[in-house]
Amino acid sequence: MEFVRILKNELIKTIKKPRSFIGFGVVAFICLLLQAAFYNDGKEILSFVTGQLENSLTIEGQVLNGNLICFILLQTLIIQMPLLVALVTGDLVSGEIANGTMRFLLTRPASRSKILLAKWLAGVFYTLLLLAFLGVLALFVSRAIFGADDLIHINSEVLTVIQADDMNWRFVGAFGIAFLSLTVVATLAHFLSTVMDNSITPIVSTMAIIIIFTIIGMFDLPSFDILQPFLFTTHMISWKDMFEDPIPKADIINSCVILFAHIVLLLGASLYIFNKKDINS
Amino acid sequence: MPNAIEVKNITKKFGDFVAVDNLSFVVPEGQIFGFLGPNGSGKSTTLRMLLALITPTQGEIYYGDKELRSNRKEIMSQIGCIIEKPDFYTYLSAHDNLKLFARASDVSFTAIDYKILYELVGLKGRENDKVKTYSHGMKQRLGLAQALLHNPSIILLDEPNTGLDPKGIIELRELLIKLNKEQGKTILFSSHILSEVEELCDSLVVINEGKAVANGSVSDLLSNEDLLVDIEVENATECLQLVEGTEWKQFIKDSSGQTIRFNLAKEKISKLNQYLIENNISLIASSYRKRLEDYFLRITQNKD
Repeated sequence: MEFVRILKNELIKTIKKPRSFIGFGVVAFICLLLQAAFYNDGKEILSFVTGQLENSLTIEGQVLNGNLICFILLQTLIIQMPLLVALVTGDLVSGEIANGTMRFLLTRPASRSKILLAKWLAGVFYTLLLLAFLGVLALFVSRAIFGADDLIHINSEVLTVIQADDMNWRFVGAFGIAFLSLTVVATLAHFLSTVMDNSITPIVSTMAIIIIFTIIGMFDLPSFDILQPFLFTTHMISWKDMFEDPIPKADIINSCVILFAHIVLLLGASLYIFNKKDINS
Repeated sequence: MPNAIEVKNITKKFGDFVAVDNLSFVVPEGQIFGFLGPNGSGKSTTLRMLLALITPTQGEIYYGDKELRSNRKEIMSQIGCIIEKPDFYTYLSAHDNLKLFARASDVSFTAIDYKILYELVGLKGRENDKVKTYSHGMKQRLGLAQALLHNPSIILLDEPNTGLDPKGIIELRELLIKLNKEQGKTILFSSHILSEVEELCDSLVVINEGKAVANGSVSDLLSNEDLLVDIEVENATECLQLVEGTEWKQFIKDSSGQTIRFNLAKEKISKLNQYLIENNISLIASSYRKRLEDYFLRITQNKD
């Protein structure tokens, strides 16, 4: 019961904090902006792309549809989402230390571990809400505007066509993997927030780590090859595997295990550090 | 009288810097206890150690017969505190803030009569305003409310007077006396208003450079202290000529305008007044300064 009460506190604070709404605003703005752009110019762009394919195959039906728009939006926003997640989760501990409210929290009977876990869960809940919001806007609103049809996309230089009635469970899986990826980002920001005592540095540091890991992942160099399989950024795009045919199950499971391992390690380190930390501010 | 708090040889080092050095003192149960020290003396670090916010490098802290680290949960449920400035979630109302702290304190809302609490700390009618609209004094009052909401038996207050207007300071003094006398709460408080400490506290500890330089009951510590007595007369030159060559000469500390300052034991004040009146010196006023101020300055500046 004590943990439930603390968690309720953290959820209330997270929901009522003004900066929590920035993420929802950005997601809504980008989704609506791209949907409007595709509504106006999408057919033109697609006819240019599909025109090159018409010599070798016949395309029927609505290529520019809600499923494709959602796929594009996911690809676009997965770059911005870590920043939006870190903006809130990177502030959860260090923000309270900087503001002085942590002093009052830690002089209550609840243990530090419970307080930290409640904060982490609130961050994960926020991540889930943000992703669900993206899902509603990207998938359901796009389908309402553009209709639902087969998804045609080029992945690894292979043209893949997914039937419209085969899409829903794939999107559920894709959003599930995206959620796991963003939970790693949230846990990383939460960890840095535990280490640092101001609210901006953990957010900036989280983004810096993502950028550095992404750069390492981009280059096909022998010294980087050893690291790449273990970097969470390598597995953050595994949601795309849900739209392969056939689905590379082993790769997805491997990615999920590595992402989950990151969460466990980072959360464990946060708990260890926070329990030892002197609250001086 | 059993001890509410016992600090045993605590030391806190930050790297090579020793913030608190082998400090020991006891806070007897049911007392108002003063915790004094100049800025940077290790007061806040000690208070943070008392609240398990900072881990001592060595030493132990007991509440009753329970060691703090191993009985933290049980002890914290009995402690209310304000440490440094009262900080709250400014985007929430005062009432929502208190609800958060009540939840964290394992206290059900129904058990708290918020109206009485707001009345007690002087926030009635403003409890639904967001904290960002509060003045520092109001935040201090809200800090007091959060410290009291779970009815703790021990209250630790770090500079609770800061930001309060004169009315607020008087109300706080009355509240602390009420909490101590009527409800038997043990109160440890630090303040730079030494007259307040002298008036309120039964015992005190003074620390300087992390070490205890005085510790005991206020009356014992100040029993041998002389007072600074200011005598305001119509003609200071005449008065100074009168005391020249008498036993009173040795007690003169300085003079300025119409005021002559003496360093006297309390029982000698009336004799001095009588001597001056008998010798036709027109006395305008006679006042003495609280002794704790001088005592504090002397022991924290190593003055003889």
